[in-house]
Amino acid sequence: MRFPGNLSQNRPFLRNYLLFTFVLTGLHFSLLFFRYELTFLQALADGIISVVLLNFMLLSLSFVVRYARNKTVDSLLSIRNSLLAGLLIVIAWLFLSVFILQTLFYNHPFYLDFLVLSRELRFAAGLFVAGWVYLAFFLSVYQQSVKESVERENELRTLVEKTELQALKNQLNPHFIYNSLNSISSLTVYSPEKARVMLGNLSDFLRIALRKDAMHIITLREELENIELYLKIEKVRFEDKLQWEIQNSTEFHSFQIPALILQPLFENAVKHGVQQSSTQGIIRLTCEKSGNDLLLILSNSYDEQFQRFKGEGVGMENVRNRMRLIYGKTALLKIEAQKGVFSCYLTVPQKVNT
Amino acid sequence: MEDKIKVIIIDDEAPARRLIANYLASSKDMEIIGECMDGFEGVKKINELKPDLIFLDIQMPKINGVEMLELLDAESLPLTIFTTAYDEYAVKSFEYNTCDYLLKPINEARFEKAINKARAQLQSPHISAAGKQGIRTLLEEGISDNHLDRLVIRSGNHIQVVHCNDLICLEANDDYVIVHTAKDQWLKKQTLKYYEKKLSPQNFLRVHRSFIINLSEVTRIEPYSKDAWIAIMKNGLKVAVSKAGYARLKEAMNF
Repeated sequence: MRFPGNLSQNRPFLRNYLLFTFVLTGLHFSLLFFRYELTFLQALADGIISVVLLNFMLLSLSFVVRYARNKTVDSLLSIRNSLLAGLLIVIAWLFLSVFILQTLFYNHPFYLDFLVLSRELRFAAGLFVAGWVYLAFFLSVYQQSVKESVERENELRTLVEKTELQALKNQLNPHFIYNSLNSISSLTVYSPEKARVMLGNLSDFLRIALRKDAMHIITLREELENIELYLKIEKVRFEDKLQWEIQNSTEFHSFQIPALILQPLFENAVKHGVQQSSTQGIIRLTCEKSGNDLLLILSNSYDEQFQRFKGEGVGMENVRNRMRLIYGKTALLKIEAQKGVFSCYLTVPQKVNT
Repeated sequence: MEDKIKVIIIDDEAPARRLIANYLASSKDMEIIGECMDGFEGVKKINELKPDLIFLDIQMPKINGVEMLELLDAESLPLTIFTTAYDEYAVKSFEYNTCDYLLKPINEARFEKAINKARAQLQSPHISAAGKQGIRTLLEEGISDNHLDRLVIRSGNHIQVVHCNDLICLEANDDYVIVHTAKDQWLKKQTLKYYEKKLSPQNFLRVHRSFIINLSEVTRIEPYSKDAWIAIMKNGLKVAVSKAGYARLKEAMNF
């Protein structure tokens, strides 16, 4: 798992932290040397050991802060945990630093007395520094995670825009339109009535297909109406060769589905199961519930003697991309070619309680 | 009446066939002698009825229009007008001066122009010969720049589709290529050079003047003599590998 705002990779922050440690050491030294009149060596050793050790130990607070920001833990709880961690670090630091300094200056009685007397003051100063460090960590991580989420959002937006453009270009296969128009041209001679009906269907379908919104969500009922329109148009071209069955859909009519997400799948089935087949081809759509989600299974038979599965075409890829963009999940579309039957399994996540 | 131009329409979609028939109705010098719904029927009817002119769709069940033309004997190759919604083959088709290429939806004025061109070609033997030569060149060069994914072969009245994955190797044999699969061997009138260009270079490699092999079918390679090797295929077939072929094989298979 990747943490946002990883401080060890944030170089400006580390530089500032080092500078802060340096200045603090200087202050500590000056205070002891000028105000409390310790020897130069004592003041220097005390300054370096106390401050550097404290700031080093406080670095571990950054893990606590990062963890708290990452997990969706109760924020009050996470603040309490951070404070507790800070307190423990300061106590540990106090014992450790005093012990080291006592060991170093075991033969300086005046300094040893000073050390014991200043314990409370050291503790208070340690807590004070820990508070500031905690705040700095918190702000830095917060700022970074905000920056990262803005970046992520921008990335997503450009991806959506790009896909929308592609959707417009790819989803509607121009050959489908050309072939349909050719059929209409033929029907005007032999059956003007049918030509008029088909022109109406084609216009309705184009109006839906040329919508720009790749994220548009409709109900399964509306989607099946769109598909019906598409199949009726293709039926004029392929006549009795094209048959379809939609099973078990009524109980899922109110389920949500991206508009025209099924069309490329049906188009693929028409191409391989009907157009490229020399016999009648039946396209079957079955609706099922899978957990809270809607599972749609589309299958068609194909002639293995003449066709082999050659990997996903543009239409399939487009469906996959749209599903990933809309639901933020991969693997919502699964395909399978086995024993002359091609099947697509499309899982459509449903929002709960809305 | 004897001199009518004999026409066959080959298209899997009935409305598309009816449209062409309707456009042809006003041309009294043309007679529709047959309609076919796929390439298999097309081969049969063309060999049987010897039409002067065909209208040929490309996207069809079983085998496509171009594969169908490949299966015809050179002498029974009729003048061909392609009718398709796909414009990707149009450029090459014009380049090789085939009779014509009509895009669906077919415009009637454009259709008239195409049949006038066909009339002119049929009246003048040498233009006609040029048109037929155009088709032949087109078939030799390949109409599409995509790699092949199957081969279509005719032996007598039988038409066989061989998927490229099922190929073991191709062997040159005079004007023909012997197509080896795990079970069978087929003869196809084509050059090895054509397949060298048209098969996917990821899977196929020319290892000898007379052989192209399917790389995924090779089990091992043994030295045969100085500067000659033998590739042993999964079905036991032994294929000669030349010095240059061995170098290419080494590069392709990373050994």
